[in-house]
Amino acid sequence: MDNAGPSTNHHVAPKEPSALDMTSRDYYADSYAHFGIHEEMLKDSVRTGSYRSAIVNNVHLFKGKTVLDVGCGTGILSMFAAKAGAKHVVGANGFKDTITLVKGKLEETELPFQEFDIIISEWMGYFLLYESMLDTVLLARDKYLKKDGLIFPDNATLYIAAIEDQDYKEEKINFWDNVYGFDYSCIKDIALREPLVDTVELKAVVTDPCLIKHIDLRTAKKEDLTFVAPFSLTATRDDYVHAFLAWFDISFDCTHKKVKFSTGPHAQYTHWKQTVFYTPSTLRLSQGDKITGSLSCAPNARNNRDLDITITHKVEGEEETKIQYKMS
Amino acid sequence: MSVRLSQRSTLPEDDSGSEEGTASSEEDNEEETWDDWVSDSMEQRACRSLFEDKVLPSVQEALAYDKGTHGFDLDGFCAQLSLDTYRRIRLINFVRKTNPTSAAVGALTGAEELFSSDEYLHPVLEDDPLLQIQPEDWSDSDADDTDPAKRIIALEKRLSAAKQDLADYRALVSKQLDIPTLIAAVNEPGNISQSAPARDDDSHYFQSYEANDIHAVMIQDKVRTSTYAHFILTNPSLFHDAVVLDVGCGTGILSLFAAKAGAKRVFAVDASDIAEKAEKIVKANDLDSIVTVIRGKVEDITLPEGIEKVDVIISEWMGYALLYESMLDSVLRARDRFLRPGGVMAPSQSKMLLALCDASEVSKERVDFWNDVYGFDLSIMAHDLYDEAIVDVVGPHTLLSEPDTVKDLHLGVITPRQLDFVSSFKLLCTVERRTKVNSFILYFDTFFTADGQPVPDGTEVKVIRESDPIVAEVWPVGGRPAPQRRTSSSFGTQVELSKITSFSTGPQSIPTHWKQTLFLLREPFIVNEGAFVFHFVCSTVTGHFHCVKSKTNSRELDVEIHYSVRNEGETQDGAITVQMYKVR
Repeated sequence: MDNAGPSTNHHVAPKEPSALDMTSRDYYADSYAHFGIHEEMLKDSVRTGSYRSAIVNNVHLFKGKTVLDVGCGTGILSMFAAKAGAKHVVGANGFKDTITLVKGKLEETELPFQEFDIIISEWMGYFLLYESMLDTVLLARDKYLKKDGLIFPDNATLYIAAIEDQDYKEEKINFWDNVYGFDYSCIKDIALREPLVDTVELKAVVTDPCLIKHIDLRTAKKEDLTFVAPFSLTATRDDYVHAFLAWFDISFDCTHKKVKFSTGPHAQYTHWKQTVFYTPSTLRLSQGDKITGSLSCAPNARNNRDLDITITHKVEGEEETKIQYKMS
Repeated sequence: MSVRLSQRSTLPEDDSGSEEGTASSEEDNEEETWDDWVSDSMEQRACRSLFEDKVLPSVQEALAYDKGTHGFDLDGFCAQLSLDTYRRIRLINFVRKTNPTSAAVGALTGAEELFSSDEYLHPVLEDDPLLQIQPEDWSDSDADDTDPAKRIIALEKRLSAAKQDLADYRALVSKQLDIPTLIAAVNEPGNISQSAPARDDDSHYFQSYEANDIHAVMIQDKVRTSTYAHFILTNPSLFHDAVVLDVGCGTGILSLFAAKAGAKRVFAVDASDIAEKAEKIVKANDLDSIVTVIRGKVEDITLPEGIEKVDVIISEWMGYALLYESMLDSVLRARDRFLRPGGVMAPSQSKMLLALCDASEVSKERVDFWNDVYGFDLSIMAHDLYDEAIVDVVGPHTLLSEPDTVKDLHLGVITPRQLDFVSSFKLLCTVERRTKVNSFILYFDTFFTADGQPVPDGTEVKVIRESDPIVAEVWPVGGRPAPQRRTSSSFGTQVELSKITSFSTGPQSIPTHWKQTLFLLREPFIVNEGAFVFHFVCSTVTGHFHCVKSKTNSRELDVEIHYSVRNEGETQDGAITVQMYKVR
């Protein structure tokens, strides 16, 4: 029915925690117990297909190896690894023989092996980092991965661009100006600060994309997940800009044919969609004009699964604008 | 999970004549004669008072005597506590056995152990006529029950079967959930508070309503919002100069409608942070002299300015499957605390409807999918789908039967206890060919009346179909006054009907944010098209629908559907199948 994401189109009514009383932290762990979310992820053929290619087509990497699947969910990645000839696969989150499933949070679990040759994980969240399990993967790497061991995937990159989005902004934001004849504009400001997870067509993109963050899973540290990145976007046509758009690419550089996939507007649909950040005012750009600025991203101090994102931007000859967003 | 029970042990009404040891000689197999039989032969039998040895010539006289002499009205008391048949039987036997005073009986709350004890299912007086009479307006459950003596025997069997089921179910749940691990997880250091904390079903609930998105979805549900708007803005006699309470106001839209409709004072109450936004919105619309936003739970608040009672309570409390999230309890509490006698609840009535449904599309997408995931069989994931209600939208052509009302809630009088219920249903198939039924479907119709009274029987709900324009003319758009409808239009001609405002969340209507609730069947069954054999006959599905608040989270629901199928030409119902679901 629902998932635990931020404002997505199909997010209708909230779910209740099933039993006991939960903090929102526990709720996170529980929200994955709902099969709906697994279903959505497995039906995401780009995601699951990429992992399959990266694993099943690289038997030379998996044959006889020990594999740790971090956040294994339904265990599909573990099964791919078993199929690729792995000696033993441990899914940290039950299968027999080659696949051992350990249920629980990885940080609190003792694993049946001390070291692994390969870590596989599908840890990415909306906007790459929202509710992501990346810190758990990094922890697992430091604790369990052999020296020169492999991580699937091993590279992630985050991009930003600017888009024309008049119609949706009208529906999602300006809607609050007149609600059945009443003035609801005070909600508008808050609505603006909630990034919207949605699919955007490529033709809406008005500028070139700009890379704002590269994460090398073999070397990244937890601190790297808090960052400020400058960007410069050049308009590819005359148009208006209503929002920034962010997406990420994932690659398995250690594979023979370098399996990769993108969650961008130019690529096939994934359940991650893209993330839209509406600007308070509309920007007018002519071809070749530049928007310069920076994006900062940090876990929220109170709830570290929430993300505080600030975007500062400026069009040549105009005032600088700064808006704080929160993904929660 | 799905369990199959043998027909004999679970269907008291179907074992006539075959149960050993029960007097069945006087039974008549014609069902139509049961009523007469009960009222004539039973009520006229001598009956002992509940509180002394005096024997009165009939049950009615005995009850009247107890009422007059001891101040105890059995029927009234049972209705007040919403005692079902079994609890009523236990109460009577309890009184017969332990001889309490009438005052002591009057002080019972319905929650005492005696109401669940097997002991009091055994008749204390042999052939006690009091056990064999039901109050006339006996509502939902088991209206078709007959001989109480047999009932009790059947009931005992049913109870032991149910106990076994429960034990099996517990074992299953325990196995599936890995309870010891769960307990260990809960008790792990860092997570402990020494004593178990009181369960808090509320925090997450109220927090979840703080995000804007949910409010956008609700406000943009045009069927919902425009129906409320239509009712509030077209009943000036009700709202003009009225004091109005809006329970769970959210962004305050209903309060704003009420203010626009001429209310003197409107109190908008919400326990979540959205109340702050509602306050700003009220101000922005210059209605803060009329609308006062109160942040808090309606159970705890007091009204300002010495106002104690209100004329109208408006609330949009409905959840998935109507009762999921149980906000209705708060609304009823608000009614008991604040509504003046003769005041109006809006909406005034909601009906839960059950029907058969062809959910094969949903099933294909959500069940069959797991059979082959990249070549792996993950069908174990689909297993759980049969334990949970699925909230989804199905089209108008998926209904396979007439709907039957399983619960009719009159908001003016219903009590929270009555929200846990068992009711019987009979579904007449409307299929035109042999068809597989793979799901029950549940949805609700909601009615608003200007006097708060229930709608007359047979009142059709207004269904807004996909192509219909939504009644949006009631508020000014762009500052222009609303165009007036001419009297020749459909609204004007049906004066009576226009007094009733309603909407449906059924498959016939355009989808609402409530969608519909589907209960997938572990064991789909086949029904046949109807045929004329002297008169029209069709396949029927009969059974009982159980709906109670979950013991583990009062905002969730536990649903049980007991059903049996009788295809045309068959002389009796098939075996009873029971399937249990969680709505969460």
